[in-house]
Amino acid sequence: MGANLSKAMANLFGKKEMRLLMLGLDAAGKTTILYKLKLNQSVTTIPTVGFNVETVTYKNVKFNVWDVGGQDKIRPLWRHYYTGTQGLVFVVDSQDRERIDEARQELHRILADREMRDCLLLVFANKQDLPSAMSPAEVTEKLGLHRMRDRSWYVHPSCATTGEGLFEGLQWLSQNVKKRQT
Amino acid sequence: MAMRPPDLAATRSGDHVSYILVAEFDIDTGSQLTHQFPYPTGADKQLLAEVMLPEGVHNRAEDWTVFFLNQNASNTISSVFSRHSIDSAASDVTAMADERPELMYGLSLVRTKHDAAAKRKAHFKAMALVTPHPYIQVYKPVLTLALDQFYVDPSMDTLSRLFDAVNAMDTSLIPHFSHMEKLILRGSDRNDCFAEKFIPGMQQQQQQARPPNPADPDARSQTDGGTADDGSDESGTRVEGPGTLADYNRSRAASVTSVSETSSVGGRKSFDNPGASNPPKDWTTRHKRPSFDRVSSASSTGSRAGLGVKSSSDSHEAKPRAGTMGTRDTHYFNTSIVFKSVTLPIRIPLSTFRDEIGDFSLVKLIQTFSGPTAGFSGPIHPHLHTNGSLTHPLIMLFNALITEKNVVFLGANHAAKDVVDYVLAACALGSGCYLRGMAERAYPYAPVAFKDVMETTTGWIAGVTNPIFETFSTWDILCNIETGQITINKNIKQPNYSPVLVSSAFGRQQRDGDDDKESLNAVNGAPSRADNAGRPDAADNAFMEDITSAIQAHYGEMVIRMRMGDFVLRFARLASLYEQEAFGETHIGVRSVNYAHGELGGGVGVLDDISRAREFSPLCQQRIEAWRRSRSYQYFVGDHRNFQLNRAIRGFDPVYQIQRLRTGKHVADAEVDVIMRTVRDSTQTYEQVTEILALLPPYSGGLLPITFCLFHPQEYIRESAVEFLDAIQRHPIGKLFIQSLNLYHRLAYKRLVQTRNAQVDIAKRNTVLAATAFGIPSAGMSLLGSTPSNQSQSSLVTS
Repeated sequence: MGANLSKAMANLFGKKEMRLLMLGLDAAGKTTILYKLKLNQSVTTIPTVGFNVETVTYKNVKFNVWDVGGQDKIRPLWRHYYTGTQGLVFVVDSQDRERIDEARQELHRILADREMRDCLLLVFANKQDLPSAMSPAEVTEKLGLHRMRDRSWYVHPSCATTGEGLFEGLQWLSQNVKKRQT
Repeated sequence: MAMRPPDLAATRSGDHVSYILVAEFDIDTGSQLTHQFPYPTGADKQLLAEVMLPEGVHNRAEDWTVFFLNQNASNTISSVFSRHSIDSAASDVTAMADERPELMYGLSLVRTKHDAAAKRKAHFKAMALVTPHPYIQVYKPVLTLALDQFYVDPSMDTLSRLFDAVNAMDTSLIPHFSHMEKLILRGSDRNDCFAEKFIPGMQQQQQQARPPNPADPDARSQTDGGTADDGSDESGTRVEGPGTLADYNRSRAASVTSVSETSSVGGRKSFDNPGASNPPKDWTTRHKRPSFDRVSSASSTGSRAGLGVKSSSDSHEAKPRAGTMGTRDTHYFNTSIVFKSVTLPIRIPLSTFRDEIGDFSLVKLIQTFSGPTAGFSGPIHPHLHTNGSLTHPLIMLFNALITEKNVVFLGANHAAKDVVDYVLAACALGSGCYLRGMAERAYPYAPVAFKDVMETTTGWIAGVTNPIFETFSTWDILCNIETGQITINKNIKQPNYSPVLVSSAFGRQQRDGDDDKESLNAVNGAPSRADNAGRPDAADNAFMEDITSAIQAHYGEMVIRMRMGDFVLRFARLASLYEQEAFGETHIGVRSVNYAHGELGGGVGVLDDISRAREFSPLCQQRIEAWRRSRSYQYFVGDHRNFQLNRAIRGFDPVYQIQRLRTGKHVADAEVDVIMRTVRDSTQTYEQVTEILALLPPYSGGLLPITFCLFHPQEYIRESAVEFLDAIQRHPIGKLFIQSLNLYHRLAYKRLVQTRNAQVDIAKRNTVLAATAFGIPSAGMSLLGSTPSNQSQSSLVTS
């Protein structure tokens, strides 16, 4: 009761909550993005064993961001985080051409899950600062996003260490979640 | 490895450690189990790796986790090499379901090492030790050393050294305690309780039971000195690590350095100067009195000092072995592990019960869930809210545990070891020295990967650090260790049954059969609104007030565990009363009756209306009925049957009698007389004495309920009390109890004994006189001494 009421009040005053799940292959830059958003600092990260979760407030929207480790053997655990997720942030290492196909398979596997059928998809084409990084258009194409008709998706270039592009991504998420509610 | 004699290997295998496991977080593939020594366990490798590398460990330097094996299909040991699978030839899962193999306990240490040179700047390695013994905490130091060593030398050799070092730990003289002895030991805070059990001569039976061991000859007292000398000679020439016979001996020799004679009572102070190396006393001295050595500091600094003492001692001197007499506190067995030539002192706790695993703190659990922020939210559930809205949160947790609800302990941003402690404490809370079946459904640390497997268990108890568990729908209650808040799942399944015996009025309703069960259910199915409000004076609430004030008064962990045990025992006895009233018979206790016409009472007696309302209300019966459908209940039925078959005291219910003496109001002289005479007559053997003394723990006054009878107006009752004390005094443990009496009572006992002896002397003298006068043989005349009379015997004789 109380929780519903406060949610209604929050909506009235324009404060929203959104649960995001940040996935991607290992070493794509998920944890770096999370702490850049949270602390506005570029931290040196080590591989994530399990998960990190932080709350980031941006433009009156409270994002609960779950960052889950991306190594091959622990990807089966991703599904435990699906229920209740409103936005999937899929992080791609734009320089890693070798594994972009692996990334595409994982992405499509995630989105095929019933629990994820309504969630927004934001793709960060990360590590744009590196030479020979794939452009957002190339990432879009290689991930096969154009064939995705009944889902709102958005690909944005980013550089986690400098923070470029990150808040634009959140901006898109908050705008689209707003549209859905009205 | 090759140095190890084969027969030694055979006797050791599986004694202390059964498996060593190593897991690593591979930066490319993730968590994986990399080594299993000596052979694979057969349990799911990925799940083992996940539990050994807890979530969030990248934010910590180290963490500890605990896991159990043989709980479900995916963590059951099924190795072809394993003893267990050979024993039970049919190793299919269906057979396991009914007859589960014994639980195995795993302790795992994980370290995060930052390394700028590494590809992703860090290494994560975890090492676990799997043992059949629940005292896993003793292995923490050796596991710490071994993991460090493994970072230096990541080879099978490191694992085999650890395996050998732990299995070389000498526990051959570990004393064995019965359930009753354990209760006495736990209740006593004396360091010399059962010290006689640490004298080697007393352990001969155990030695014979052990298989022969070259490093452990049967005629130990004669040959041990020689063996130890061999060990010291070899250790001088060899620089090998442990694993060899020589090192095995050396570790043994080093573990006990000196023996000093201490008085069994006043010896505590001398424990505190361990540096002194008194020359060992000879056998006879040590046999006379239990004495204590100084194991720890001399042996931990190195074995040489200890060996020096040995070589200087005379040759026929029997070397005290690990744990022999070498006990500064009889609650522990002292021994040691030598790993990489470092001697680690080990203290094995001796007074632990089933479902008490590791070194958790029940006090911490109670404090967290009865603190100022503690409380509960969510729907009312008949099994959980046994006192309506006034149910104490900890009682609610207890109710959830015994009625097999799915319980989660959540510690977001906490280390895995924190939640582990809560789960282990919860197992102890739900078993309380008497029940069992908690640990087998506990997952002390459950990573999210455990979710599916865990949910195949009925009534799982899990410790989690991942707040995603909050969003899952499968738990019934979620206990937040940070806030002390307990959340009841809004979708918790309501029971589709209700207690057979629910009476709206609190009057007794004896039912001979269960033929009218249906109608009762219909009438009393739902407790009335008034009941839901709860009673402020409910027995559970009063108990929790006692417990929290005991904790505030800094009572120790063991006292709190025992008082919790008393609560569980009371619960079981009330459940027995419930069965008696609902079904006419009970499988878990004796009939609850009061004393009448010379026949002693039993069970919980006949409850008056007030006690019924306080502790046997329809709300309380809900959890009893739910417990009766649990595995824990099934175990208890079997355990109770075995206990009744094997117990030493027969023919009456000692628990009820002691309770009558302790708390009974207006107890008639006749009843006291029968109680005292029966108790006296039933405390002749050692087993009987321990069974009675286990009911008289120091924290509830020790022998006081009995010694108050020393002041009873009726002489025959005083006599019974004196004779009871005489009977227990024949045993060392009984002596300790009498010593612990307060001075006034002790003096009263002494005075009564003196009076009696004087009477006997006078009677004897008179008999002799009479015999010479009338030619009657004197035998049997001393019976005069126990003539029931308020008058003094001497006055009778002299008159």
